Amino acid sequence: MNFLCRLCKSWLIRQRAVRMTPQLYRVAYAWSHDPDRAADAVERAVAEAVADHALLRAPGRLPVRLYQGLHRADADGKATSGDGASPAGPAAAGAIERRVRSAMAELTPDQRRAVILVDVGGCSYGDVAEVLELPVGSVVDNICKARARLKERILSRPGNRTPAQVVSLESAR
Amino acid sequence: MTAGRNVSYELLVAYVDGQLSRAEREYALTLLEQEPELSRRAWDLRQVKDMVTFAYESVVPPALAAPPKRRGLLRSMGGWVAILSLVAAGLLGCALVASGGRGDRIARSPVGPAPVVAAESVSAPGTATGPVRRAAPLVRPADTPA
Repeated sequence: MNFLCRLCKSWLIRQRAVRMTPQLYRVAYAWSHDPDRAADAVERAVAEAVADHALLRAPGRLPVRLYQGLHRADADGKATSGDGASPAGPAAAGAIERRVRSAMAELTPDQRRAVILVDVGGCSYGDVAEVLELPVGSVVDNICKARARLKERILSRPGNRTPAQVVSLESAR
Repeated sequence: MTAGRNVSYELLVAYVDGQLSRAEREYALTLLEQEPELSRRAWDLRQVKDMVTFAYESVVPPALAAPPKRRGLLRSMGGWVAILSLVAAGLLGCALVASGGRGDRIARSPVGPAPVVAAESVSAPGTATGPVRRAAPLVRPADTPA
């Protein structure tokens, strides 16, 4: 019976991890701006999380565990392939995307990771601290500096549209 | 000193990120209603946050963006179910083999050759152990020489 319970929990964890794959990819891509490295990092993070038996006792920790794996994979990928990805990402991106990605590339790695985990990954400050293995105070400091820098880079330029305008323009396409 | 100056930038960022407790959020909301400048800064931060979210919304390749095909629990666990069925069948077989001899005698006794010693089931008075098997006395036929 215990074996069956473990089997069902393992299956549920795998399903949840697979459902989180698009969100994981967004975070990994926003960190590295490299599609191949992001895909590899997601694959590795999901494989590590599924094989982690500690999650059977605390399945609610799955997102944090996945982002931790993503962080490790991204750090390893950067060590092996360097940080030579284009900061602005693919040329097919729109003007807003290019501007945001360009501003994001000017942040320090810790600032970029923290703000991406909050804005794209939907993590709390506590989760970000756990994923990045930093104190919560450092995470708050990084996020505040990143927000100030992004605001300066993104909103100070003339002709910027509000997000509502951007969304309406995108939906009208 | 205005109320707005008491609000730290960290509090404003945490408010925009939705990281404040209920009491802190109500406090921040009160200050935002009183201070247009604070409200404008919060709006700017909210814009930046929304733009960052929006910028990475469409980067997912179609292969990953498509939701996984929903499958039933039994179908997706088909391999495991097959393995479990084999294990269960093996265990059942072992159990049958282990109890095979006794079960075989019990099963054959009604239709097999007559037992040498007749047995009858009686309940032992004063005991709760159920029926006991007691040998019936052998009666020699009258025409049989002694």
